[in-house]
Amino acid sequence: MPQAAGQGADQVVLKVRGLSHSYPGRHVFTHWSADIAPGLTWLRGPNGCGKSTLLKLLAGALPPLTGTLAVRGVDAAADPLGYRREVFWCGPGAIAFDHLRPLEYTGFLQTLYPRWDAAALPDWLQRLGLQPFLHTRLAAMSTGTQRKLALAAALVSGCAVVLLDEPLNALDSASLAQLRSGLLAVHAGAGQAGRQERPQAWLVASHEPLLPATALPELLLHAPPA
Amino acid sequence: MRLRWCALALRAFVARWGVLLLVTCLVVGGGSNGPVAAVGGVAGWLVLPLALAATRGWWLLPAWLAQALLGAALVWGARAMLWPVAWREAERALPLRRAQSLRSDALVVACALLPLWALEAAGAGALLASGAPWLLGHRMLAMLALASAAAASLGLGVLLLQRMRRLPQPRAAHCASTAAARPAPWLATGTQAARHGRRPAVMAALVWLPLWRGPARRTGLALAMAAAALCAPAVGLAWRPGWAGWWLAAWALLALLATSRLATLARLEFSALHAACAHLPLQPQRLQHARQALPLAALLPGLAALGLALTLAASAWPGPAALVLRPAVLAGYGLACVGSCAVEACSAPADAAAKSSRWLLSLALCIALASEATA
Repeated sequence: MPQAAGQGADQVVLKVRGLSHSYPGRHVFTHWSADIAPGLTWLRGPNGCGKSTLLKLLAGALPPLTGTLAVRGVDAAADPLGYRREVFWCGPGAIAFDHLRPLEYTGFLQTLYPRWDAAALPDWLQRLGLQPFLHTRLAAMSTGTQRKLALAAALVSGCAVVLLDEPLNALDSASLAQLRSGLLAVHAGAGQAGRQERPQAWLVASHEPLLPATALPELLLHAPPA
Repeated sequence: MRLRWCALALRAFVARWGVLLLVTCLVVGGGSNGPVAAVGGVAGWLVLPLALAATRGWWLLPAWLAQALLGAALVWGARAMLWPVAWREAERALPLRRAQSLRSDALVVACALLPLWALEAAGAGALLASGAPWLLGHRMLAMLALASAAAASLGLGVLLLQRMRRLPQPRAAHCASTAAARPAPWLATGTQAARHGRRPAVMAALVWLPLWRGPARRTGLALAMAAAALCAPAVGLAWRPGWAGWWLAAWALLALLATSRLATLARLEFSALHAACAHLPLQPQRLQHARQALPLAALLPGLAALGLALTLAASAWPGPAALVLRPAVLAGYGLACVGSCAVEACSAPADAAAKSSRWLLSLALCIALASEATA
């Protein structure tokens, strides 16, 4: 059973047991289990190994065939709403709610996530260069700009588990540097997990190294048998 | 390639509805002098109004328009078989000239209208062969009107298919005119929003905003049109209270049509948006209930207008005599209408034949009650 971030069982944020999922004609996971500890975890694996599917399953966007998921003791099957309040998922594509404007989008998310850090949002919007787009509809934004907005939302969501799917894609170099500084802060904060009130676990799927000069806990997925 | 696709789609359509058409023919035939006479009657009725209008001068234009719109309505009904929306991007990427696209549309529309044209030709032939004395001096005009109405149907059908290519995608890419768009008043700036603590409610973000600037704009427009259309029978009732039964029946028909169409549109346009909420901490039932309630919201203005018109008619305001109402039947009519519409709005997508049967049963019940609502 993989144990990411290696902080010990007492600090596990996300607990996965016996997770199974399959697409028509293809098994992706069979009784997969893992413990995700606080801090940054790099989810790696070749194309088609199920990284995006795993993140969707952990986010509650896909129903698993079997298995249990729990964040800080909140079980996804017993209390789906409570579970989803503790998990923020940032998918690899464009934002689905593209009829909204950035402030409407973040305001909408703020109503859903109880520990949303509204005070930190303006800073992240500025750091990611989103200020000129605040009154533009998401549909009129480029993929990269939408991505930056979704990442800003992830950074302030305050959720116990943050799941990012290929966050480095489509970002300009300045935003990439800002995102890496944010991820580095998450990684550095993991060292003080015992002293943090609510340490977060970040699971990030990426083909690129997240922090090139830093050794990160990894979760490696293997391609399922054909 | 396109003709082959349309032929396959039309064949599947006939295979699906063929039994229903056959039963209808048998029922109509049973009520007349047999299936042949029934089909002959249908063919005759298709051209008779236009032929009659040709003998009465100013009636010709509306009759001609109705004849042309009949064909266009058929094309509209079969539009998914004639040009599937999924082809949009693939077709745009092809090096096709506009003339080629128009020609191909004209060809498939003509194929779709061929059965109607055959029936109209049969009806026209039967009418001419009958040697009706009232038509003797107007034969040429009637046939010219019929031919031009058929051509107009073809033109309208082609226009419709061309227009479908320009409609926004279900996941609309409504990029224009957004850069300078003003923020919603409750979200003037980030700091203001934070200071006043105003955030878009879930229903506003996922149900109301999509109706006027999101992926459900067609539903929003249809909602407004349905609300306006449902007030029309009430105006008619105030104008001619003596025809109350007809106005109530028309209201029931319109309400069922509007609810059915709105429910389908809302399901189609909201499905992607609401599916994208699967990972959010939201109760999926809330979104589903809100989507189902939308078609029923269109009934409210019409119901209020109908109630007002009935009250006025019962108090003899517009006419010399007060309309005598049967309150119990009227209440039953109201319940049947709202109940039928609620069933239409809330039922899961069913087999089209089952839905049509339920729809016709509801309509028959509402019309029967409407005809008995006044003494």
